[in-house]
Amino acid sequence: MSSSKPTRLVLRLYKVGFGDCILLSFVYPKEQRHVLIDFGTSALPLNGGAGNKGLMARIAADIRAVCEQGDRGEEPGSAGSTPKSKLLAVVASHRHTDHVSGFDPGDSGKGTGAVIASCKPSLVIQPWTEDPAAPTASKGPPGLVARRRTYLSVLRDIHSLAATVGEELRRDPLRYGERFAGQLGFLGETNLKNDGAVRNLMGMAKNRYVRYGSASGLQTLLPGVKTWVLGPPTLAQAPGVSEERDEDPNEYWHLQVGAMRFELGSAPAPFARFATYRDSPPHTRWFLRRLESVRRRELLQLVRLLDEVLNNTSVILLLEVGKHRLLFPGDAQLENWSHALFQAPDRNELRELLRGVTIYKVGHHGSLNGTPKTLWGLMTGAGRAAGGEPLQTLLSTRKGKHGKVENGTEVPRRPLVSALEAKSNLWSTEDLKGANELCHRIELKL
Amino acid sequence: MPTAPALRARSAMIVAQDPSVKRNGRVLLAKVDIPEEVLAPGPRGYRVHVIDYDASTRRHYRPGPPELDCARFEAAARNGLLDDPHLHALNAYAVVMRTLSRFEFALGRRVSWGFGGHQLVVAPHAFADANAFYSRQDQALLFGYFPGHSQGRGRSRKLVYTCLSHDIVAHETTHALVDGLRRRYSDPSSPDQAAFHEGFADIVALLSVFALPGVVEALLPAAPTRDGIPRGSIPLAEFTPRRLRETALFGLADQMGQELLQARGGALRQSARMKPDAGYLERREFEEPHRRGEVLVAAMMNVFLEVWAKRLKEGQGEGTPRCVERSRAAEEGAAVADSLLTSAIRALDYAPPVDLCFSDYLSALLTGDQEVRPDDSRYGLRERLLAGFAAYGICPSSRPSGGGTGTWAPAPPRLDYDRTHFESMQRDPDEVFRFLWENRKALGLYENAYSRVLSVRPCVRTSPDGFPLRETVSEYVQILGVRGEELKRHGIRKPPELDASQQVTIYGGGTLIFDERGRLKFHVAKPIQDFEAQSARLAYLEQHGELRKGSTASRRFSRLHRRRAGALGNFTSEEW
Repeated sequence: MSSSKPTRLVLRLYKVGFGDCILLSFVYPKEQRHVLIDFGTSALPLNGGAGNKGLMARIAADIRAVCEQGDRGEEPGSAGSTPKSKLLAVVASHRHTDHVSGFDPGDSGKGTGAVIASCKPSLVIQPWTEDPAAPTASKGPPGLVARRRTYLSVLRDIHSLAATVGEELRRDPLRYGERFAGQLGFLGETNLKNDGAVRNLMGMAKNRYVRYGSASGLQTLLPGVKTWVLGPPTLAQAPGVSEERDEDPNEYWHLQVGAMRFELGSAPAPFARFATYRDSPPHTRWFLRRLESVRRRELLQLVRLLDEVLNNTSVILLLEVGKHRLLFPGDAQLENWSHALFQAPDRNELRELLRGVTIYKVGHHGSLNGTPKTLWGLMTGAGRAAGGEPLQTLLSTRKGKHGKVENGTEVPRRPLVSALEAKSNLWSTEDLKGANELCHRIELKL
Repeated sequence: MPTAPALRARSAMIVAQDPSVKRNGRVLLAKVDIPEEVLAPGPRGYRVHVIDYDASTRRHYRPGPPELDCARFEAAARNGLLDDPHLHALNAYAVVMRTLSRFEFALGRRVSWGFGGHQLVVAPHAFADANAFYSRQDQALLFGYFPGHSQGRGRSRKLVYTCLSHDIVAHETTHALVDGLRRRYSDPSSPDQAAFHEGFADIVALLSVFALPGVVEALLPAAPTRDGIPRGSIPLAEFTPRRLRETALFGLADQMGQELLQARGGALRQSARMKPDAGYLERREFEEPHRRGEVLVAAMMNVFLEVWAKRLKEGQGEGTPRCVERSRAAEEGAAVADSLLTSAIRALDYAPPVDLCFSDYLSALLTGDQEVRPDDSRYGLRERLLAGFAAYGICPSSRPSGGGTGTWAPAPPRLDYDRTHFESMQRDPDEVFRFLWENRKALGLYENAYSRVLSVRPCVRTSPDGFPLRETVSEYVQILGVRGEELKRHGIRKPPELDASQQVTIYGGGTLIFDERGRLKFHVAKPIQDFEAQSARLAYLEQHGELRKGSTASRRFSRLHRRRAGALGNFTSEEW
């Protein structure tokens, strides 16, 4: 194992539409070592046209080419001999489709996931919630063990619920109306279990399941690179799960998922023996229409909140190499960030580290709550070292898929994009217009 | 032939708290008084219309007979309360009507819903959802149901119905009533105002439950059988505030359905657990509306326990050690809860119409109580409210000019009544506006704002000695729309991220309390020209994303309940 330090770092921000895929290439004097962070999409690029055909396969092929042949600069073949090069690690930030679908080898076993597996990474990093041993782990006080089990069971429930949402939309497509059905369907697909991808990730290398404060496992693979895992916190660390309170949010989600089975027709309606109207009386119909409308909105709100629950299982990874600090938060939202920013005993030291971030992968595709303002303030505020490396931001997103401008929930959120443009050098996948433009390539001198 | 006078009230049976609270293996029921009326099927009455439509399963249940016969309810409840939607409908109807009549009694007049119509729709099984909420847009209280914990391996999970929970129904009804009384309290304005709706609804709900003697008696410890202790009595030592907290508050909280606790949060248990600490409101975690609301609930519930203990201690007591009859202790507790509930509701009439903070509410509470119950020797309530709220960091807004009592200062003495008519001032918004306009300088109104009298409400409040107190309560608002760039000219600090061209709305307003001779007693004002307060309000709105385009209060209660239960914080200050 080489003990030298990398001399440069190349980042590739791939155009996957609504999803994430970033390849980090650490260039050492005698070799190149690569780390792939997420590979998934839930909606291919807008107006991608013919360029969208086989896009994920072409990206997988490109990743393999870079990992096997090494980064060769902007133009393929521009460098000389092939350096020693290897994909060392894969980070799957969390189980959402837009982060892991590319790891699925598909029914044929030859899909994009197989291409990544063929690169034979040494390590796969996932959040602690994905650890197969977690549901039966008995470490900790009994109350905490019970809460952990409920929490993990809720995460499983979310996936099965997502599948049920899809089935219901297929069974009764008119019930929710076109707009709601579109949004529900999208969230349903995003939260699918992605079993194929997850099995592939488990099988392609040694798996390491990380939590706030744990070692990432990358330090031995990447000499000269420091890493910190800033999330997700465990339940013992997490905000809102204080021993002083009786409510267990996971218990709430568990009950809520049970309730949604009635909505989705997989549980029998109550009061079966009581008479119902075949045709409701006229004086009640106005209210029935309203209640149907309320229900659609509430259901969408619920599915969105469950989506947030899963987002908050994201691995938050901070790397330091040379004069650069790189932050990859997946889709973490403030419930996940809260521990590192506001509650952790070492939060002041962490805040200092965050002040020096030079590369920031914009959280949750630029949504309104994926980049906490406190974090943004640290990265861009007065405490930032003067004369240091300017901040560069990586935004992987697709307009028009999530949220609405009218109610300030559009993704990417306009005020955030304005701030990114004003205070950083922004790299957005939406600027990759050409059919053959697969990624932004960003080279950092170390 | 003379006819019997129409009855004004009748008895109805309700579930005392929720089906988990049982005595001798049976669900604890309670008999309550509600307004008498001839019901149509639904039941549908003059203020409430129950429509039993389930939007999740799309089943619209035919209503049962609209009978409120207590014996039938009791018998039917024995045979399966959980399985009969008609009983659920009757229970929800009765609790809503009881809450409404408590408000009308406390305020001494009719109280309108916030949506303009007369009949609030109650949907007892609106959807399969661990939630229940008030929706102004839909003119309705919507109650969900959900499967609880499984009862053992292979057994199905019993359903939990939020419409059978007394405190949930009373809580949601309170939202609907406060919305009718103070529409602007749903607006984002300050951490306190955001928290008030929830905290106040919890206070009303919990005191409503404790005002049932049967509930209180069921919670008290069993009477011991020892020498020197009269039969059916309990030593007074059991009735310190600390012991009452353990037996009554924790006792009820422990029996409440665990699933309901998860779905709705444990305001009761939290309020019992929060020890006095003047620093809560300064902490970051208490910026979240529900947590902040818990501080208000804790302050009020502790006052309840203090007064209850005082009343029992002041009793004669019998035997050695001194004892009190269990039933009397329960009645005294229920009476204290009822009295405190009346004062808590009445305070709304003495509170400003906009930008409420907890300190304003305390001043309103003290003032309203003093007006109707000048002699406070029985409960010592006002003294305890002052001390009890101060222990949680809440001091009255009026303290500097209120002479130490915490009540609002009297209205300015020199006002012009020459051109207004006493009779019209009791009902006519135009007449009250004329009074305001004539006295705009003395009352500190901002002349260049849009001003409007929202309501004129004559009231007849009944004091404990039976004498009526006649007052007329009127609210007005002042509204000024200014662009970001104009704020400085008005002495208001512009939030840093507010665009110069973006228009923001500045609110002011006041509550006018006229006495029975039409003279202004109190003017509880939030002046538009309180530049410091307006600057703080805008800063809060910006921090919480309320100034951004698309921000909406639509179904805010639903979202708040969900985010609390699911531990997804309301971190709007961190959003874009």
